[in-house]
Amino acid sequence: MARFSNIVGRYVYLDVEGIEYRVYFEEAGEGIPLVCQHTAGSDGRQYRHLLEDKDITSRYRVIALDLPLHGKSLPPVENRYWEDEYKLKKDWFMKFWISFVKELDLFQPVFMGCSMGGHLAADLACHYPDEFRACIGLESSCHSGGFDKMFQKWWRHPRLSNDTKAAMMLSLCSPHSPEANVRETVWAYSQGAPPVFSGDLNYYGIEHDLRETASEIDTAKCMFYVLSGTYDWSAYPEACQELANKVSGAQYTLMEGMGHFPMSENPVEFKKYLMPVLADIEQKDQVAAA
Amino acid sequence: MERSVVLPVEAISERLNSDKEFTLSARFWYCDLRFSIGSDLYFMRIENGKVDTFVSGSEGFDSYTISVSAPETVWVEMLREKPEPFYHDWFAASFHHELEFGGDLESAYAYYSSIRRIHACMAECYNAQKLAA
Repeated sequence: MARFSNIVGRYVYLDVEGIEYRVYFEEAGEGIPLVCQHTAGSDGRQYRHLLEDKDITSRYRVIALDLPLHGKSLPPVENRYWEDEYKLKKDWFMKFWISFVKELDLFQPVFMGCSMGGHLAADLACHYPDEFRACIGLESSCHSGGFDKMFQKWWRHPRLSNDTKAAMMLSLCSPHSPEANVRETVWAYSQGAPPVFSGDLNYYGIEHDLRETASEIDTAKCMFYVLSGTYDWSAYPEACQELANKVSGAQYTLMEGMGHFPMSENPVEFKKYLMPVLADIEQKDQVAAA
Repeated sequence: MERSVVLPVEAISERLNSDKEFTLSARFWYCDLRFSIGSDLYFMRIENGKVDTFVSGSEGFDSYTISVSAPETVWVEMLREKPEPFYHDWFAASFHHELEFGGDLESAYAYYSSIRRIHACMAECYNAQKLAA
């Protein structure tokens, strides 16, 4: 008898700014929708441990997608993408998610994202607070500038192979994370198409900037949580805490001994930090419903 | 003043040349690396993915293409078995601590997994030496 995972994968067609995208997503569980955005240059497999965790899927419908150009979501056939430099744009990124939530008919899901997904959690909470009951930003800060030259030149260089991105991502992982999980995390980076990681960082390192506007996030409409790992040199703890401090009512959690990819590099430890956040969301939901 | 960080160059060379991950990731690599521990200098020559020479001290005209430089206090932290945050990686340390990682960045990025193995094997041999002392 075959042993099957409870994860189900399928494609949905989305229209964003007049272009049709065929988007791959995986889901498992029932309950409050919990939609998950992967980091720059990776894909939805980062959430496979959450998708297979019955403590979570018994209460949440967990959905993890591959952003177009990532994982199994191919570039749109209407675009001559090979002629243009790929750059992930903030407005498109937000509209994409609003379209995904609408097409799947999800009612006020919880959004959780890591790194560029964490930055998006903050941007969605700021710009679309009515669409989400809560946003969880993992490794999320106001701004991640200052690395432009590095990612524009060195993270997309014709003479550097896919080994480079994976190796550089090792630097963001914690020495306390299980090695098998760390290696799996960086494996996904070695599978990304050459322009994708660098193009994603256009959003992560340039367009995302809440330094002046983070305080506009209204946690009465959309609760906002920030969790950050002590070994993340990019979205480092002080930067993540600064974002949480700027948002009245936001909750900040420092994840001791964790790196930049908590859900995939150390899912067991990450769960200890995530479960209280999910419980808090459920409790606030119940209070609101009463 | 007595030096607290002395790298066991022979042990590190042997360790790297027998390390499965290093020998796989460093293939086709030719490089001269300089490690500065405070004012102490070490030079490692990689020939076709193998450590050819690793020596302590300078003859005054040693060339190098990649350089890792930090005060001895930073090296002490970086050579721990489980380093504290941002001492766990030379790249991370270059952003958050007093460490300079520079030179031929194309070679450094291309062989960053090998460079990480150098760090890991260096720490392993350094700690074994300390334990044996």
